[in-house]
Formats: sequence, structure tokens, C-alpha cells
Amino acid sequence: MATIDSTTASSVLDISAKPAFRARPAISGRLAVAGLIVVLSVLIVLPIAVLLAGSFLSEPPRALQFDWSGLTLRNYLAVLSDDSFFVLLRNSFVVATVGTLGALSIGAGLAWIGIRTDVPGRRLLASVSILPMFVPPLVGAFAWDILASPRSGLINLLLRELSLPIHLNIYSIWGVGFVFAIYYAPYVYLFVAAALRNMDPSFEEAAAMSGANRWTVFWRVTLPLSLPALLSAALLVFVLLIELFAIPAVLGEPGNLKVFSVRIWELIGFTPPQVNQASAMGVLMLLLTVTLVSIQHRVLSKRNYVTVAGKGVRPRVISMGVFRWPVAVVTFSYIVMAVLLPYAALILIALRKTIFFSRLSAVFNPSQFTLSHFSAAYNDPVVLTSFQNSLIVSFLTVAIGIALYFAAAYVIHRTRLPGRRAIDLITIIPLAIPGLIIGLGYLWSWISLPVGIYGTLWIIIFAYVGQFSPQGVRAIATSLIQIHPELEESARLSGAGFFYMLRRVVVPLAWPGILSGAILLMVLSFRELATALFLYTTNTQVFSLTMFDFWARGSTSMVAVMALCQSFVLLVLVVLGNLIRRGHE
Amino acid sequence: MYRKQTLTRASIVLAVCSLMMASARAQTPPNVINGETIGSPELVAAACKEGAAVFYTAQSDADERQVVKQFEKDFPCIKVSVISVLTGRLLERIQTEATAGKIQADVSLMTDEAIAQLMIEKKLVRAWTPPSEAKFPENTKKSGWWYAGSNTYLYPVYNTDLVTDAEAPKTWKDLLDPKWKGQIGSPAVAVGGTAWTLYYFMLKEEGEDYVRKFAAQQPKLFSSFQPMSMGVARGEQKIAILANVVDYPLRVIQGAPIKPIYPPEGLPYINYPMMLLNHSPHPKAGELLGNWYLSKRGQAALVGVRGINSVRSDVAPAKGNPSVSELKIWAPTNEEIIKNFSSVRAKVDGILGGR
Amino acid sequence: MATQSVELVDITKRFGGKLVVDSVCLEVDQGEFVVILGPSGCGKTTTLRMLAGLESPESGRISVGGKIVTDAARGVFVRPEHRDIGMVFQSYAIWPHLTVFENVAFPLRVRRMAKREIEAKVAKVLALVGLAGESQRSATALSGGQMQRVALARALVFDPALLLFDEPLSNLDLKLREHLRGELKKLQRETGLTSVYVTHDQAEAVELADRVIVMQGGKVVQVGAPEMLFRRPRSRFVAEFIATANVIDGKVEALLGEKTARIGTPCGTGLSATFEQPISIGQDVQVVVHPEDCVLSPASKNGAGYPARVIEQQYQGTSTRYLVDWNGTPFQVVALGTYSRLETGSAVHLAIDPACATIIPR
Repeated sequence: MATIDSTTASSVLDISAKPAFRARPAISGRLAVAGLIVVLSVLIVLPIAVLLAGSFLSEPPRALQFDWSGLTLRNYLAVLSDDSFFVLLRNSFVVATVGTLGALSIGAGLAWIGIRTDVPGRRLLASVSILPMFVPPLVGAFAWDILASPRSGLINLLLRELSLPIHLNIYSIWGVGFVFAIYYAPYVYLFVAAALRNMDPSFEEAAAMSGANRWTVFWRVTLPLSLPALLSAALLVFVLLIELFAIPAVLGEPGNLKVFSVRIWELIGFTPPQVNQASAMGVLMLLLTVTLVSIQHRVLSKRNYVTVAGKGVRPRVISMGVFRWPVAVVTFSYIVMAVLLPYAALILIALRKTIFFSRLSAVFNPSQFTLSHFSAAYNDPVVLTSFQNSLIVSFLTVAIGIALYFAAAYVIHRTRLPGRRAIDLITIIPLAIPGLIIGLGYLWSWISLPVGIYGTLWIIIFAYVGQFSPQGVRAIATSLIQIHPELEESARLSGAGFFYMLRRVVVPLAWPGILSGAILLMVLSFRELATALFLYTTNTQVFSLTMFDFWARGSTSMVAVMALCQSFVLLVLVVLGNLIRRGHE
Repeated sequence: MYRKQTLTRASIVLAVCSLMMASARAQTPPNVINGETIGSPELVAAACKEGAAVFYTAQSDADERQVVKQFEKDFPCIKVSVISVLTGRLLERIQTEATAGKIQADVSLMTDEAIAQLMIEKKLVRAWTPPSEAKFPENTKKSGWWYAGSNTYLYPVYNTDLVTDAEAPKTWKDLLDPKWKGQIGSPAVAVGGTAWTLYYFMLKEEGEDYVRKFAAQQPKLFSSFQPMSMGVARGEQKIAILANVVDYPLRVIQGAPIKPIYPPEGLPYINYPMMLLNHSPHPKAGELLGNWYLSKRGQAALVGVRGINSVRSDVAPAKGNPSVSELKIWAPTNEEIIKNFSSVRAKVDGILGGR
Repeated sequence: MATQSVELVDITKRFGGKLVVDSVCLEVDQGEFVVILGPSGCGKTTTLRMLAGLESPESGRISVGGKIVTDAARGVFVRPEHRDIGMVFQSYAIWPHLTVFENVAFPLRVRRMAKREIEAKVAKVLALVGLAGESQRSATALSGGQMQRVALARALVFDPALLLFDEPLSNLDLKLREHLRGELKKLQRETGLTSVYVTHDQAEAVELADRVIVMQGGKVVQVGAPEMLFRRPRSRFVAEFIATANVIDGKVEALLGEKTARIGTPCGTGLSATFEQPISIGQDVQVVVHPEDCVLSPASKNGAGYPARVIEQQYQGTSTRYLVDWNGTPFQVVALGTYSRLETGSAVHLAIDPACATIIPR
């Protein structure tokens, strides 16, 4: 799991490396870049542009039919003048802020405890801290619904059984914020852990030699030096949480906690559907997230001063003394909350006939236990077909995505070809756009492409390839920029042509990064829900959609079974990927 | 040599297969099921030739697949693909497909009459008169265009672990009892035709004052039925106003501790219009599927899976459900719905708060 | 002599509008070892990279072995892999995923050479650089010096027409650097390969080069054999860059011979010095004198020279560096030997051989 570690941390880092090869770009290079820009434009720019246009029209630009006579600001006025807009704004902000702050304290705490203290089991901590990343948000939300719904949540049943006067309410702002926090803490962890690992210990040693005690060192040196990492992690998590659909959809609704992403979902689902208003709201969200992402970009570009030393730095370790064990218990309780408890609940639900119980004794009633849901899932052709589809989609997304992202990352970081900044910009945009709304853009723009991809799995694959480009490009870029430019130049001077050099030098050296990128992409595309919603047709339903359909129908046990299967597949993929990576090393 | 052999073998297998398929095709299935005509023999033959049909539905995916399985048994020559999306999203897809000239589906089933009207006006739907047309009462069809392939009605449902039968409300008016303040879940009016009809019923039958008092009860407004039904089934909510299609699988199939009330004032009822799409890829097979869906055979299959009451009087209710004759169904006319759609939404939004 | 191997004509390069290489012309003969010397940022590495084909000039022409590889005016640009040039990089650029053998064999594999031939050639070149028997080691397990040898082997193995070095020794410690410098020179003499070597270390340049090219601010400021750089620097910059030198302002007072002139200095005395570049009487000039080329003797003795006074001395083991006050002008003198014979504060005579004092225009 350490693979994901370094690459994802820098998935949004933008370290500008010296281009390797500054010779005058050959015509073929320019052509290749032009081709790349065209492909990326169709994948990313076109759908967004269509959405943007749609937000200013009274009739949606379906199949690229623009009716400019309907040019209007009415969609924006409708969105902004709606009484509920400010409620949405407040909710979205408050809950994302609670989630971000929570993720920040958990993630940074884990990183600091795991790297800078002598807490027992801290090696294990490094590999388990990012485990919750592999729990799909829908699954996490669903499991926490079962665990902590106010009346019949398992934890609340237990609390009532013990006659304790407290109870948890997962449907509240604090509840949703809590689930946000535990599933997005790993992102913070990756950033902060990277910063702490790379920090030159002499900064802290110098402070200690100047007479500062260790808390002063922490507050005056360690923390300020980690601040850029903390800030950029916070911005990234905030953006992701503002866009997140699955968790507020499952947990927000019962508590009337409405946020933007769910509102967009409703605008498109209500009758009659308000697709133009939905795109207007999407564009408003886009403005917000683009602003945040560009601030994050700024922050990162100034963060160079943190990392000075390279590899082989032994971080200063602080002794926790008598608090070693208590701190370890608190730390590992995070894994219990984010992974063990939810999966225990899922297993319980998957094995029970129903999820209706009003006291704890009823939960473990042996007559309720059954394997029938597993056999039902196994015998359901839709479950099987969509499972197959998801596997195909994930593998092809990885295959196509990795090739494309490699090309993009190479052009951005290893050449000085004109157009590379455009590519850099295009590949960061999808980070700022919620999958739900971009799905609509894909539908409107791609249905009329001369190549008939609508109605096939390809449209979903291409949508995913576009949607995940920020993560993919940056994962590969991290390993590319670590390759000294002279390693490429020496190959060229040894007589190797460009592609021979790529094959024999760059790809083997970038392989760990490419593999980590592939694993990340596999996980993302296997669990993605919102993007595919408008794109699937006959026989192209994907697994997460089937799961969502079962959830929407109240077949909770089936959802639990499917969630377990999904998580199992993700786990196998991640473990396999890491084995290949280790084997390669 | 070896390659040649495999090739020969493959071609033999292929030939046998195509022979078998040809013979299967040769046996055109009967066009009459249990004495009811599904379509002319020509229609069946043409549909078999097309071999496939695509069904866009706003009803649950898995439910529809079960229903359609029976159709595939009756007409093995046709393979049906089901795509299930909420009505609004379904409409958006159909409109986009029509604009691109790439309509994917043959048959659609929406949960909203106003949407059906819109589709007729936008020429997305083609004229259609199934053999069973006469079996559909007035007000459950727009003859020549759509028929209530499915439907639902709304009623309050309570959790039996939290509310005893004695305390449970008996009428719509009982919901205004102060003890239910904050305990009722209700769909937001914008959710769709189903929720709209509930509030139209409240406004028209109980009066605007009732809606105001209902608002004063501070009901939790949901934008889909699922979390609301789960809420009442798991005991997070004492009472919820549910559609019977949502309540039935939880109550009857999963055995949730919930019980519906059939208020004497009436049950707001909603048609789920079934239509044939214009320029569809398999027009004949689509028509045959539609005809079958509206036949006694199709409706019985649907009732068995979804626990609805078919509008056809000759179709028995599902296990544990009362028959339609025992219920007081309250159904607005199609004209009423189309005329009042926007004004009712605006009024309810004004009273219950915009969503 | 031998034929001309490399020619750079009027090469100019800008990075983001900044002129880095300014109309550089350069010729290298067959078998010659040329060192481009200059401080960092003088454009020497960029010049080398343009020769390699890793950068392209804005204008100018480059030919290698009589073949034009770059001609900006005609749009000719031969890609680096087709130039048949070996290059040793500053970072060594040893591919960490390959063994020593595979690193060295790479250029041969690219050329699709037979396996047997590859093995033979790699073994030979590894022996040449002193790495025989190390071929199966992982490249990452090597020391810096060994990596440099691998890099050299890789650049040599395909018998390139030209060998380029980009500060190859700058990452090594002093001892090793001196050792490898000697080996490199020996190797180059044995193979007779035309070489261009870039460095900022004048000791390296002097020891390795047949000819040194000094660059400053993107321009070539002096070309010549190493001893000529010391003896006849053409500018104050060259004099001070390659060694510590005394530079005295003055005015030409009289021409004494074909190459000698008397210069009036602030020290009040006339100083005889040699000139190479044409000068005229009354011209403002500077005189460069290396501290090692002067002789100090106690004033008590009846020696020739200008009167001066020792104000500071620094014992350096095998020599002593004196700072003397020559009529108000500080002046450095280095005396060889392990004995320091002059006391601080004592009056001395400063003798300067006119042949060792070079006049440069101001």
C-alpha cells in the first residue's frame, strides 16, 4: 500500500522539473501534442463547454444542438433567487468545513504519530492509515447509516441497552461531517506524511540546539514547515467534499441536510427535470472549486522550502513516554471506525434476513441468519453482468488512461513543446467538476460524435478516462520528474530513438509510478457512481449503479452483499498491484 | 492440417447452430395467451424478426426484469433489455437521444402524466392502441397514446414497533394530531407526479387550510421515497406517507414492521403511463412488449412482483393487498393534472417551503 | 595537421529572451582535446548541448566530421541519436534499472549488434576503464568514481566520432578527481578520440586540454594552449579566472621594443611589460603579473627591483604568499620553498621580469 502512498500524495503536487530535451521540437512532436490536445479537448473541454453553454440557454444543447435564440440568465437567476439557495450554500460549506477540519486533524495526527513518535505499531500505522481510501464513499455512508442512525443504529441500540444517556445521530451535520472526515483523512495523511518524511531534520535539531523544548520545536518549527502541505491538503479535501454525492445522498436526506451535489441530482431527477438550472448550479460549483484548486496550486508552487534533504533522512522521533500505549489505542481506533466497524456491520447485514430490529437482542437472533442474499446476488444476472461490465470498464479505463496520462505527463514535464501548458491546465480541470454534472455534459456532447460510442461501454470508459485525468496524470508525473533528464539524454546520445528510449529507459524507471497510477485508476473507476448515470444503456450497467439501484429499492441486504464483493475486488486489485510492484523492484 | 480440421469442425458447429436457431425462429409463438390476443400474428412474426426490444422504465430495474422474464418466456424469440432511471433523467435521455436521432428504446414507462403529455407534444411518442385498450377504464389512459401500465397510490404507513394499532392514525385528518408533530415523513412536491398528486389531493379534498396545518406539523420532507420508507421501516420515523409500490416490498417481501392505513377520505392515485417511442429501433417488438405488458398476463406478473393493484378489474390483487373495489381511490383526471400542475406546485412550495 | 573534426559557426542561443550563447565560433581538430572553461552561466554547457543535439541554436551552423548536423538557416537538425557522439554527463546518468553490463551494452543494442560482438566490445571497454569483472553488478551499487567509469565506457563503446564531457568530475572528491583526470587524459591519448570537455575548474582544463576555450557571458573570450592563458591572458577576466593575479592600472609611456613597453603605474615607477595586442602611447592599460613570477629580496641586499614593504605573509608549506605595499598599491608575491625568509614590516625589493608581465587593454 505504500505504492499509493507517494504517488497519490503528489497527485496534485506540481513540481516543475527541468525538461530533459530542449532540442528544437520536431514536426512530429508538435503533431503529437496537437493530437493529444484534440483528444483531451474531446474528452474534457467539450463536455464542460457544452455544460457551460447549456447554463445560459433555455433549451439544453442536447446532441450539440445549440439554440442561441434562447440565450438567457434565467437559469442563474432561478438558482440564486431560490430561497433554498442560501440554505444549500450554508449546509454545503458547514458540512464540508466540518469534514475538512476533521480529516485534517485525523490525517495530520496519524502522520505525525506514525512518523515522529515512538508509538507501538507505527510501522503498521503507515500502511493502514490509507486503507479507508479504498472504502467507496457509498459503502462507508451506507455502513454508518446502519451503525449510527439515531434510533435503530447498532451503536445506539447498544448505548440504549447500557442505559447510557447519550446517542449518536449520523444524520446531523456532525454525523455527516464525521463520515466525511474519516474517509477523507487519508488524503491529508498522504500530504502531511510526505512533508514530514522529507523535512530536513536539521531544522528541528537547530531549534533544539537553540534551547527549544520539543513542544516549542513542534509549534515553532515542525508545524510552520508543514503548513503548506496542510493547507493544500485542506483545500483538496474541501473541493472533493463539496462535490461528493454519495455520502450526503445517503446520510443527509433523512436529516433534511441538503447540499449542492444532492440538489443537482434532484434537479435532474425531478419532474419536470431542470437540467439547465442543474448546469447553472454546476457552473457555480465549478467557479468555487476552480478558485480553490488554483489557490492550492499556488500554495504548492511555493512549498519548495519544506523539502530540502532527499532520501535517507531519518526523521527525529519524539518519545511519548507513558502515553505510548494510550496514544496507540486512540490512533488505531481510527481504523476501527473507518474500516472494521463498517465492514462488521456490512457482514452482519449481508448475513441477516432483514435489517429491521429495535433492540440489540433481536440483532443477533440466530433464526435471522441466512446466506440467501449471497446466492440471490450470485444468481441475479444483472448483478453478474454489471460486475463483468465494471471489470471491463476498469481494465480498459486503466489501459487507455495510463497511455494517455503518460503521454500528457511526459509532454508537460519532459518537453518544452508549445501547448504543454494547455495540456497541464486541461488535465487538472476535471478535479473541479462533480461527476454527476459532467455525466450530463458527456451525454449531450458525445451522443452526436460520428463514431457511435453511445450505447456501448466505450462512452463510460472515455468518460472515466476524462474524469480521472487529474489523478492519473499527476500520479505518473511524480515518477517522471524523479528521473534525471540526463538519463534520457544519455540514451539519445547512445543512439536510441525516442520510442526506444521511452521503452528501455523511461518506462522501466517510471514503472512504480505507472503501476500506482494504474491501481488508483482501477479503484476509482470500479467505484465511480455519478459519472455513469447518464451514460449507461442496454447491457452497459456498471456495478456501482446496480448497487445504487438496490439501495434505492430498499434491498439493503443485497447492497451489503454487493458492497462486500466490491470491496473484496478492490482489495484484491490493490494487493495484486502491490505484489507486481514489489516483484518488479 | 490441424487448422483445417478445426475450421471444418467450427463450420459444422456453426451450421448446426444456425439450423437450430432457424427452427426456433420458425416456430412463431402463439399470438393469443389465455384467450387474450396480444397482437396480430403478423405483429408477432415481425416482432420475432426484430428479435429484441428495449424498455426504458422509471420503475425499479430488478422488478421490471422479473416481469419481462415472463414475456421472454411467452415470446422466446425476443430479448428484452431494461434500463431503469428516474422519470426526469429518463426524459432527459430520451430527449437527447431524439435530438441526436439515436433513440435507443422502444417502450417507455414514466411515473408522471404531465411528462407523458410533454412527450406527446414533443412528438417523442407514437400513436398506439393495444388490443386490451377497452379493459383500461377512463382516466387510466389517454386513448391512442398511453395506458396505465402501472400505477401507485399513497397512504400513511406507521412503524408497529413504535406506534400501536390503537394510537395509529386512521384518517388523513388524524395526521394533524399534535402527537405526530415532527414524526411524519412526506415527499417533497417536486419529487414527481406521485408527490404532486398527494398534495393536489390534500388541497382539493382537505382544503388549503389542511395543508397549512400539515406544514405546522413540521413533516420531514424527502426528495425520494427510499430513505423515507427505510426510515419508517427501521424505526427512525414513526409515520411516513408512502407509495404502495415502495411500501409493499419492504412490508411483504422483507417483513418490515410497518403497516399502512387506508384512510376513508381516499387514496391519491397516480397512473404510470406506458408509451411507445417514435423512431424506435424495434418498433414491432416494442409494440408487442407493450401489448403484452397491458394484457392480463403482463399485469398479473407485474402485480406479483410489485404488489400494485392493476387498473384492470380482471387482475387479482397481490397477496396481502385489498382489492381495488375495497378501496376509495382518488384520481384526478389527466386534464386536471395538466391544467393545475404548475399552480399546485407553486402553492405547496409556498406553504411547505421551497425545495 | 589532422583534419578538422568539429566546427561551430556563429552559434547563438536564447532562453526566454536571455542571450546565453552569443555568436560562438569554434573549431576542433581530429584527435584534439578541447576544454571549454568558464564560470557557471557562461554558456559553456549550452554550447556543448547544442553540439550534442540536445538543444538547438537559434542561428548558426554545426558540423561534425565534415557532416552538417545543425544549420538553423536551412532548418537542418540531426537528432542526437543520429550524431554518433558519445557523452559523459555531470550526473553520470547511469540507468539504475540496468546492470553495469547492460548500461554499457545499451548503445550496441540500439545498433542491433550481434550478441557475441556486444559481449566482446563491452568486456574490452570495461577493461579499458578499469572495471573488468564488475559487469554483472547493479549500477546503483557503484561508487561515484565507478559510475563515472561506467559512463565513460558507455560513451566509448560504440566508437563515436566525438566524445563530449559535461563537467564529469565535479561530483567527485578532490583526490579521486585528480586521479581520474590523469586516467582520462591517458585514455584519450590512447584512443585518439576527438573530445570536447566542459568545466569550470581551471586545473582540470590546464591538465587535460590541448587547447582551452574560455567563455564569459555567452562569448568566447580567449582560445589557446593552457600555458598561453597564464602567460598571455587577453583580458583581466581570463587572468583572474584561471589564477590569482596582480592587476595594475597604468598608462603606456614608451614603446621599448617590438613586444615591450614601459607602463606608468600609480606606484610611481615605470614598469616594463610585454604586449601582444597593439597599443599606443598614452593608452590606458592594465598589467597582469602572476605572484609566482616575481622575486622578492631583502632591501639590505643590493638587489635590483622596485622598493616595497612586506605587510602580510601567509605560510603555505611549500611556499609563502606575501602581500607587499608597493608605493601604496597592494601586490602579491609567492615565494617557493619551505622557508619564509622575509619578515613582516621589512623593506624589500620587488623584481618583475618584463617577459612575465602582460599588458592588456583597459
